[in-house]
Amino acid sequence: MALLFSTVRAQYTVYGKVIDQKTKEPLAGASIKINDSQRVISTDSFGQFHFNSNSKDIIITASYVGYINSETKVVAAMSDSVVIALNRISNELKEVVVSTGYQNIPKERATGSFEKVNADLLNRRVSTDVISKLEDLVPGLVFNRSTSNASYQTQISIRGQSTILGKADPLIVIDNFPYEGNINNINPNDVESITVLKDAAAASIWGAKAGNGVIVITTKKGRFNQAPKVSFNSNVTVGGRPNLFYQSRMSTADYIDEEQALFTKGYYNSAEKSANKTPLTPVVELLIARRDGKISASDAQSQIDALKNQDVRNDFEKYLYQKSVQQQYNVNVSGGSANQTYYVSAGYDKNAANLVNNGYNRLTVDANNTYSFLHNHLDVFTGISYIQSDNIMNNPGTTGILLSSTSGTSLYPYAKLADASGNPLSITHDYRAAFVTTAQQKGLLNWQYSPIDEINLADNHAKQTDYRLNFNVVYKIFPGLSARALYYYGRTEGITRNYQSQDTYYTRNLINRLTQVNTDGSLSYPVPLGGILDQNTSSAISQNFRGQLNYSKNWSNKSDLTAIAGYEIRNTHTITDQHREYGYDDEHATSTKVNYLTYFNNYYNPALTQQIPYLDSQGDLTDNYISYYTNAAYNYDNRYTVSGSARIDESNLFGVKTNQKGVPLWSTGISWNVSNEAFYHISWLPLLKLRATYGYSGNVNKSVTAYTTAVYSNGSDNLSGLPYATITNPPNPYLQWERVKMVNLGIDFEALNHRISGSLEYYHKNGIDLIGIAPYAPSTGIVQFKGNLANNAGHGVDISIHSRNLNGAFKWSTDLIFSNAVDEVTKYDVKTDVLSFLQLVYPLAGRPLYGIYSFKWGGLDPKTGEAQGYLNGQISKDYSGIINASTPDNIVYNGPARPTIFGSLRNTFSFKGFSVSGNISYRFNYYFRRNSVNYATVLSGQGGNRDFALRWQKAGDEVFTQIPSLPATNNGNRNNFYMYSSSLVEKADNIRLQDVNVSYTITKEKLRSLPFANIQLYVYGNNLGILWKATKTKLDPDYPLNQFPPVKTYSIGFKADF
Amino acid sequence: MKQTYNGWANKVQGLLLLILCMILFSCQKDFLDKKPDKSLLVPTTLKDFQALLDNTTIMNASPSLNMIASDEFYTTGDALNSLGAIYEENAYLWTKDDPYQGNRIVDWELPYQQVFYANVVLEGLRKIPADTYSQSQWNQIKGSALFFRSFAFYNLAQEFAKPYIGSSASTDLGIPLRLTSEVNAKSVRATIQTTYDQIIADLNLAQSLLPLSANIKSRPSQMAVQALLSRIYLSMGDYVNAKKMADTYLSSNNKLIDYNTLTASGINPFPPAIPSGNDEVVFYSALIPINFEYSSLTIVDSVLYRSFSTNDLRKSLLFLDNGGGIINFIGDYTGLAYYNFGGLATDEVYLNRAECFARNNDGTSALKDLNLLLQNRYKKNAYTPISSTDMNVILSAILNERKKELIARGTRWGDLRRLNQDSKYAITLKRIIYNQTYTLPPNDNRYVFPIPDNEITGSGIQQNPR
Repeated sequence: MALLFSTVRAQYTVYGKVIDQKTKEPLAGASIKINDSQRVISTDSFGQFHFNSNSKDIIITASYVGYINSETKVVAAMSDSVVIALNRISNELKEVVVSTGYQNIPKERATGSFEKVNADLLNRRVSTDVISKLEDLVPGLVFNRSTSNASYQTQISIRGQSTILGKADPLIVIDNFPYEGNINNINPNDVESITVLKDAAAASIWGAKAGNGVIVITTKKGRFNQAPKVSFNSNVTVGGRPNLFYQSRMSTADYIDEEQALFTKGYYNSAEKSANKTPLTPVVELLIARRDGKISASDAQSQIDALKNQDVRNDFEKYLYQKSVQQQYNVNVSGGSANQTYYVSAGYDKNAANLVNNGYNRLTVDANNTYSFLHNHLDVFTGISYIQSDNIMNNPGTTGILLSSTSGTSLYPYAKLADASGNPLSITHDYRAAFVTTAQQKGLLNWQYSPIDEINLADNHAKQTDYRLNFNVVYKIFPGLSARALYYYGRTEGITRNYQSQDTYYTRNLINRLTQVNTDGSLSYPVPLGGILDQNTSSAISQNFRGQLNYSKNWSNKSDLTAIAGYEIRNTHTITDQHREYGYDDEHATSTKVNYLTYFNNYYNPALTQQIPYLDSQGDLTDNYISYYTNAAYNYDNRYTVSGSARIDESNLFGVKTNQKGVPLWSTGISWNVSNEAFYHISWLPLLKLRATYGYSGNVNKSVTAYTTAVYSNGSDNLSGLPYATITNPPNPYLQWERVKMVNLGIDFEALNHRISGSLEYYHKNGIDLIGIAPYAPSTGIVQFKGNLANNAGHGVDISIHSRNLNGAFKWSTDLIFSNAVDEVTKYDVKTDVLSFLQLVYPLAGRPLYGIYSFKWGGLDPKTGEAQGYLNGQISKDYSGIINASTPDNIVYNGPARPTIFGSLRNTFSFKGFSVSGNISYRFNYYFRRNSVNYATVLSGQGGNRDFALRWQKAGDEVFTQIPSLPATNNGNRNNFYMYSSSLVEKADNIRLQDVNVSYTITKEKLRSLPFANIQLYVYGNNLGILWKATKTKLDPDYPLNQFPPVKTYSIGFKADF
Repeated sequence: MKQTYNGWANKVQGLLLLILCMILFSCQKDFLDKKPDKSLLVPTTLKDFQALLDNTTIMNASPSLNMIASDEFYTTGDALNSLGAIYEENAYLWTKDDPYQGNRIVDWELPYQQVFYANVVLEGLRKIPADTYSQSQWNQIKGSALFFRSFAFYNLAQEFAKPYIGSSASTDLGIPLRLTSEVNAKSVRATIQTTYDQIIADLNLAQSLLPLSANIKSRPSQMAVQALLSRIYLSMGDYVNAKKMADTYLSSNNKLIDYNTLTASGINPFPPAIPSGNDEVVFYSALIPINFEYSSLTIVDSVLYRSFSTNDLRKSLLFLDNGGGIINFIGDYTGLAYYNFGGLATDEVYLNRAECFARNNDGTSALKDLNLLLQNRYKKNAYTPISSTDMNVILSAILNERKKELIARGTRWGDLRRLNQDSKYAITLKRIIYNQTYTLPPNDNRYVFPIPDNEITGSGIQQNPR
């Protein structure tokens, strides 16, 4: 006992930490050589180390790749902890530490595909949100520009899409935990770095949610032993007015001519006599008045001619759109003592949108602290983040301004929104103009509709309050082994409040529609006078607990093992509540009871009855997960690394049998640092590392279940007043989770005295048991079936090259990113007719998930100008025959709809404090379908594409036009054939100047009188223009169907550190 | 110092372990069994099954393209072009070639959805044996499901299969008889004979399970079964059974609305049929909404309109004269505007029985039923009962009144198909659009609608000749 005690007494424990001299960042994985025993140990992920020694005076040598070795003399008994600060050999050669969200790994020893983007690069781009800053920085990561799915957090695909119906965008992790709130609310100024996890070895630690890659966002923290540092950043971004003439549209004159032709044919007779008071355009009203002798033919003609010069898009641009202005302010303070750090930040954003009266305001506060106790044995981290945002949505845009909102007929192009002096004007909307006037005379509320008035009267806000609390404890149990407990509480409270006062059209219209005329002629109002208030509230609470053991051990200076294992439990509970108040008095917050049950006669057509809309609803969603995971990496002599990872996820997926709830996912990888071999002597290539990984990750789709499921609806909408249920899912006992298998091969290199560095990766992936939709024979009772119908395969190459071309006083560096991503659906057990295939884009085996297909185009018939296709190899105009003989397999496959080759080229020039950086992005090998004239809309008096003017009109026109002639009557098959013919498919390839950043930095070292440590002024321009595109049309190939492409924006700002 | 440190460590370690264990072992099972969405249900209880059958939007709807193709209404070329639904235009013109142009056809899809719901319920019931307490509700739900399935099968057979002709029924193609909710089971077309056998057998079983009448008319009842069987037997030319069913029905419910109690005000004079506003309605179903129904230029056939005498209250109650010769139909038994009635009602049963009497040469009884009905339709004391002994006169009068009384109920098409088999009553339908004449001769192939394209692609069942 005594002997043992004395032995213990004779031992000294040395605690220490290795940091970067300049940034004070901890250096994880640095080697510590101890002179007493020639032992070598490594620092942990916090850059910390400790060891026991028998001698009192020890000399330790700390070394780290890219840093100058440092010898330190330690007097064990004297100090609690030594801090060894290493100087970098050169600024660029910095050890990269990547974060998986579970651990930090030195990239040098990683086997998987990680891509780290640091704050400097993120700040190059000015934006309100974080995610858009990633564009053009990460190979393999692409923004899907033309498609937008509001239910996804981002529009990003990493290495192509590995699911069909599941969540197709990557998992977003903020500081260890998945973030499922509104990612646009995160303040980019609080982001320290972003790591993108691309392959299975990197992402499979995230298991069933990682099938589409993972984006790990690390926020800024304070640092130990750092003097207080204050940083300030502010900028203003101005965006131009959008070009509403981007989509070509039939000229007003043509539109009016067509209306006249239809009028002559009697097309409007039915609408004119309709008891529904179907609205007719001013031209049709004039034609009726002329027919009925109410105005003279010449008056009518001159009034109609006057309208031919109108284009409502001028008014839209003038009164409903504006230049956007985005202001951003952010200040943060950080610092730390030997055993405590802090970071506090506040940000404010105020954006005025392109749509007049729309905007976005955001306030963010972020505060975190780290405390170190018990000789660095116990670290406690606390973080709190608060975000308050207000999205103002008073202007719904112009696409919803229609002639009739009930039938969806589009607005006439000669509508006038304001008079010459800018006073708002009413337009014909929902009812015939004469009816509106008469109704008003009979005592109903004003029934006019003016789009300009509407946006001024609207009061529609979506506010979100978001809290994130983090509490982490790390306890070092004995050298090499530590236990971590992490708790995360996230809460997003949303309230959308749409107050439509009695002055708004919506409210006036509803009150008027249901106004009842009593027998004595007086009026009564089932929908009470006053405003209508819609409030949707939602509350999403996410709680996570994670318990994890970290183990690291080093043997004899050569072998190094790091391993983690943990358990995680996650619960997300979302409650939504929607309700509406009628007769709402905003001043006194009072409302009126209404009768939801009675069917009231409609004022505009008493034959129709209607109940007062009842919109109240509630929702209660729960997402539960339990996961077990482990990850280990073994490194030998900084030459060979072997890694492995495994994870099991279980969730409350509805209806799936318990044994299918869990999905085991795993990965493994190896890497070989060839340049560290003794035999390696290629001096121009000082770093060469080879990597290979293999593994599985998964996707979650909660919209399918194994059992027949139904959903209850409350009975108020139903005729019988009884509660009723609707079947949402047919039974599917064979349901499985989706899995994604990926192989990744990579080479990392540095060449020519470290001036050129980069990596090259090849990957191959397979999606297995992907859930797809298949059209089913309706006799089964369903028309669509969701199930594990598909497999897909994808492969590609990601290359990134960084080159410092000139490194003197004038610096020039080039960053090139190149990605090639090819995907193919390998199995899709679906038979579908060709039109639904073209319209709904079902996947097709042997083709990419998103492809462009078309009917083979046979030009125009020189005699009639009708479109021609091919039937049984012969030129044909039998559209019905062509469509019926066509199958998804035998029509033309033009090519993929998403780029298979894409990337960017960024050049940065700097001289003294000046820096200019320009980014060119390119996308190749994909196609898009453009719009053209659709005679279904032309022949229903709703206009259409400007191609109408270029249509075939007489023999000989076929030489210069491919646009079919106007048919006498509408022919659906003819329209469909043309709309989906090859003549409207265009190559989408393009190169664009994405953005330019110019900055000037002054440091205190340069200018002593400067009150700041440094100050930077910057100017930034985004969406600067297309340099080249394959299509000859004026369309932006990435936005062929959008109302307008993204506008150019210009920013100016400054950053200062105190 | 070391001691203190170890003490601390032990405490923290212990705490961590405790938290871990608590979470690991507490309520893991419940945690993973939690419903992800509270509004979701796996239907397993009688209440759930009743709720599925009470989904009136799905269960209480009948095909309507046949109404466009019948001879009750006409429209103009312009109005036809502005309908905005190519399959409706083609149904009106009996277009031979590709009338759907790839469109989905609700007339086919919705009845099969009803069949699917009924099958889900029937299979679910097998898993919950009834006890004495729930027996009557169990029976009622099973009977309802059988009724809904049969009504759907019958409606499908009227549009998508040939009429029932005894001599060829065992070879003529009927419709796929889906008797399972398993969506992967293959669809095969049964013969006409099998189709009608299945319908009649299921309805007989339903009749033994259902209550006599239903308070809410969207729910089936014994009387609804009788009214439906009477219609089905009539369509098969089985006048004995058709009369038997009508007799049973009328013995428990013979109430007719006296139209003198209604007021003509330019809008639908009938109260909503659901839950129970219309005394004649025994089972509520609405024709599937179509644009043709909404068009202000869907005009009542002028011969048909003129055949209503001035003393006939139906002329003012059921129709609205919009001037310029435009007569619109407004008198739906649904009691709702723009919802044509497609269910079962007492007036039809009277007409069924009258026809059966006449076919059996019982002119007196036939006229008794017909006159009773018409007395309730004419102005008080203004009706002169029909009296004749000539069976042809009597039958013609009945068929004539049938066309008038059952306008826009979705039954005319079935009657045309049935009557066309007898050359005495066969007629050729005619349309004139933009001076072009279109005709549909009796027993033409086009009296059978083609099966929609997505069904042919999906299940590969045999298409109807056109």
